[in-house]
Amino acid sequence: MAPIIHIQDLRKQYDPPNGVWAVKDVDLDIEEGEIFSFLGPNGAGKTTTISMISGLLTPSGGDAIIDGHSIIKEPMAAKEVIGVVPQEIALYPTLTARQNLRFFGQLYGLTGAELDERVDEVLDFIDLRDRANEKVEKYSGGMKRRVNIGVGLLHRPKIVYMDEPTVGVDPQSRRRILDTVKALNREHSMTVLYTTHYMEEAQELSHRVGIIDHGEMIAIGAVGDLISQIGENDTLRLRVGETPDKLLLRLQEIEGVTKVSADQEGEITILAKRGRRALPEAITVADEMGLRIESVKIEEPDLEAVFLHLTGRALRE
Amino acid sequence: MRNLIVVTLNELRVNFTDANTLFFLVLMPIILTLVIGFGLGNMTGGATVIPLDVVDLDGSELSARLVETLRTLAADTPLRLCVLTDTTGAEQPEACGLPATTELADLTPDELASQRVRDNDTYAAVIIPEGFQAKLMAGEDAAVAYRANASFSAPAIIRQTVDAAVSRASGSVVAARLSVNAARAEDAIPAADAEAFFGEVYQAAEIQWEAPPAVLKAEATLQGEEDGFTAAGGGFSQSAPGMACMFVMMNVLGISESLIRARQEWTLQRLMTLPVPRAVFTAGKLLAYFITGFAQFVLLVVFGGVLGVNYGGNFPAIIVLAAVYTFTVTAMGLAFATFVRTMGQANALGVLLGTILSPLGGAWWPLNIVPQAMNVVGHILSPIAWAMDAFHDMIYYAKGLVDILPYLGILLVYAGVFFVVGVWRFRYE
Ligand SMILES: Nc1ncnc2c1ncn2[C@@H]1O[C@H](COP(=O)(O)OP(=O)(O)OP(=O)(O)O)[C@@H](O)[C@H]1O
Ligand SMILES: [Mg+2]
Repeated sequence: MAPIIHIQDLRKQYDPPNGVWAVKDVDLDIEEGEIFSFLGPNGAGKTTTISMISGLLTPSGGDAIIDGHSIIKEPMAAKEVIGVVPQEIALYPTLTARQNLRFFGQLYGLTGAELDERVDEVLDFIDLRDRANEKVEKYSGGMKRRVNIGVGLLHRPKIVYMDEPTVGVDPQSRRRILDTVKALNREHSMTVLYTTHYMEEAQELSHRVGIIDHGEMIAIGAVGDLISQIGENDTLRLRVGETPDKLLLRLQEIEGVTKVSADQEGEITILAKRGRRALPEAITVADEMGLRIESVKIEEPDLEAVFLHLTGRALRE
Repeated sequence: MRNLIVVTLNELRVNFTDANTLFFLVLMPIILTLVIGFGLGNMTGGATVIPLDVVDLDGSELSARLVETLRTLAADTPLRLCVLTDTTGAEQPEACGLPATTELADLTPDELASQRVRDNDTYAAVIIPEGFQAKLMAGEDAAVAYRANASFSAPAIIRQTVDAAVSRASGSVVAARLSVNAARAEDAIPAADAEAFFGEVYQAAEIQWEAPPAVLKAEATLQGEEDGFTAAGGGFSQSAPGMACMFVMMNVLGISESLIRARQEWTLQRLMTLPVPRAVFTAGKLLAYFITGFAQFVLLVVFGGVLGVNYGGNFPAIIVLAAVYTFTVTAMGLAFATFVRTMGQANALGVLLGTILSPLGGAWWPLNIVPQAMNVVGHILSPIAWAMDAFHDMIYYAKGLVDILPYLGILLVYAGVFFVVGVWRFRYE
C-alpha cells in the first residue's frame, strides 16, 4: 500500500537567496494509521516542514504527496484530508470557543445540523462544552491548547498534524493531550504526525520517530530500533555546580566514553560503553578539579541518548 | 462564494467584538463633525466662492454702472461676477467655469445664463434688459431680471448683494431725475419759496422712491417659485462630509493592522491550511472593511443632513459616492498594508497618513480658502479632495450623479493604481 504521506526532497530556504535553509532535502514516508513523531531541538525545522506539507509555506524544492494529492499541484485536494494543529494558538481571542469552531468548520465545508453536531462532538472531546460560550482570551493556556486541537479535528480528517501541542501546558493537560492523540489513532485510525522536543512524548506515542536537526532528517525508525543503534551505551548524568570546559575534556578522555555534553543547569550527560565502569573515574576527575558532585544517575539508553550519539549535543541545551 | 460570505461575516464579527470599535467608527466622527461644524459656523458658506452670472443686454452707460456697483459690492464677499456679455476680453474669475468662447456661439448670453442656472453651474443670474437706460431716461421703469434655481437653496448673500446694487442704482436714478427737474425749475422759483421748493423736492423724492425705477424681478427657473435664501447647513456643510471622508479613511486603513494581527494571532496561517483559496481571506477582509466604511460614510453624511446640510436631494449620488470613495480607500488600505510590518508601524503610519491627507484633501476646511498651490497638491495626493469636490457640487450647486461622474472617475483611477500596487506587493508568507 502506498504511504499516506510521501515527502520527497522537501526543502525550504527562508528569505532567499541568502536566508537560512531551514529544511534540507527531507525524504519521508508515513503509513496510514501510524503515529509518527518529529523529534528535534528548537529551530530544527519541524514547524517549517509541517508548514510546507500543510500548504502554508511554498517549498523551495521537492514535493509532498498527501493521500495521493501533490501539495503543490493539487493543494486544495491535499488540504481536504488534513487537520492542522499549529504550534501557536491559532484562534480569534475575542470570539468564543464555539464561534471559533463554527467558523473554521464552515470553511471545512460543514453546514447546518452537521456543523452543529461536529462542533458539539469536538467540544465534548476536548471537554469544554460547558465553557464553550466564553471568549477564548479568558481561557487558561491548557484550555486554549485544547480548542486549538479541536479545530483541527472538526472535519474528521484522515491525517492530523500536531505541532508541539503540549508546549506550555501543565502536566495534567499534557497527559490529557497525549491520551487524546492515542485515542484518535486507536479509535478513529487517524494518521498522526506529531512534533516535539520532548523525547518522552515521542517515545510514548510513536510507532516511528524521525530525528531532525538543522533541517536534516538524521535518523528514522521505531524507537527500539533507534536505541539499539547506539549499542550497549549507557547514559550517565552528573550534576555538578559548574561545568568548565576543562572538565568536559578530561571526561572525554576516559576509556569507553563516546560523547560528553553539558546543559546550562550544570548537568553533564556522558554516553559511555558499559557506563558503570566509567563512573568511578568520572567522579575522581571531578574531585581532582575541586568540583562537588550533587547527584549521579545511570540510565538505560533512550532517544535522548540517540540524539546525543548522533549530534554530540543534548536535545535541550 | 459561500466561503467569501463566511469569511466576511467573521471579519465583521471580530471587528465589532471590540467595544472601542463603535466609538471610533461613529461617536468620535460625530463629535468632531459637531465641534468643527460649530467652529466654522457660517464662515464656510462665506468661504465658498459663489459665482453670479451677469448679462448686460443693454450695453449702455447706466447698465455698465449697475454692473460696476455689483462688482464693488461683491468685492468683500465670496461672490464672483461672471459677466457673460463682457466684450472687453477681461478675464472672468476661474470659479465661473465658463466654457471657451467658441462654444458660446450658438447660445445668446441670455440663453447661456438660463442654462447655467438650470444646470447649477451658477447660483443665479442678473439680466439687464435691452433699453434699460433709455427707459430710465424717459422716466419709465426698467426691470432687472434675477434668475435662480428654485430646486436648491442659495446663500442669502447673493440676493442681498443684488438687492443692494439695484437699490443703489435706483437711488442714483431718483437723484438724477430730481436734479433734472430742479434744473428746469431753477429760474422760475423765487428765493422766498425755497423752503416750499425743498419740501416739494423731498415729496417728489418720496414719491419716486415709492416706485423705484429699476425694479428687481425674481424669476425662478425650475419650479417657478422663489426659494428661501438660507445658507445650507452652515459649517456642517463642510464638517459632515469632511469628517465622513477622514474617518472612513482612518478606519479602512486599519486593514493593515488587521492583517498583521491575523498573522500574529496565527489565524491567517491557520486559514491558509484550509481547503479554501487564499485570495478568499484577503478579499473577505477587504470586503468587511468596505462594508463597514460604506455604512459609516452614509451614516455620517446622513447625520450631516440631520444637522441641516442640504445635499440637493441627491440620495443616489451620495450612495454612489460613498461606494466609490470607500472602494478607493479600501484599495489604499491594501496598498498601505504591504508597506508596514509591525502593529506599531501600522498604527502610527495610519494615523499619520490620515491626518496628512485629510486637511490636504479639504476634510477640515474647504480647499478654496487655501493657496492655489496647496489646492493642486491636495488634489494630486489626497483622494479626499475629489470626494469633497463632489460634495461641494452637490451641496452648493445641487448637482446630481451625472455631474459628479468626473470626480468618481478620478477616484476610481486612484483605486485602480492602489489595487495594482497592493496586489503586486502583497505576500502571504
Ligand atoms: N519566518 C521565518 N523567517 C526566517 N527564518 C525562519 C522563519 N521561521 C523559522 N525560521 C528559521 O528556520 C529554522 C527552523 O525553524 P522552525 O520553526 O521550523 O523550527 P522548529 O523545529 O519548529 O523549532 P521549535 O521547536 O522552536 O518550534 C530556524 O533556524 C528558524 O530560525
Ligand atoms: Mg516549531
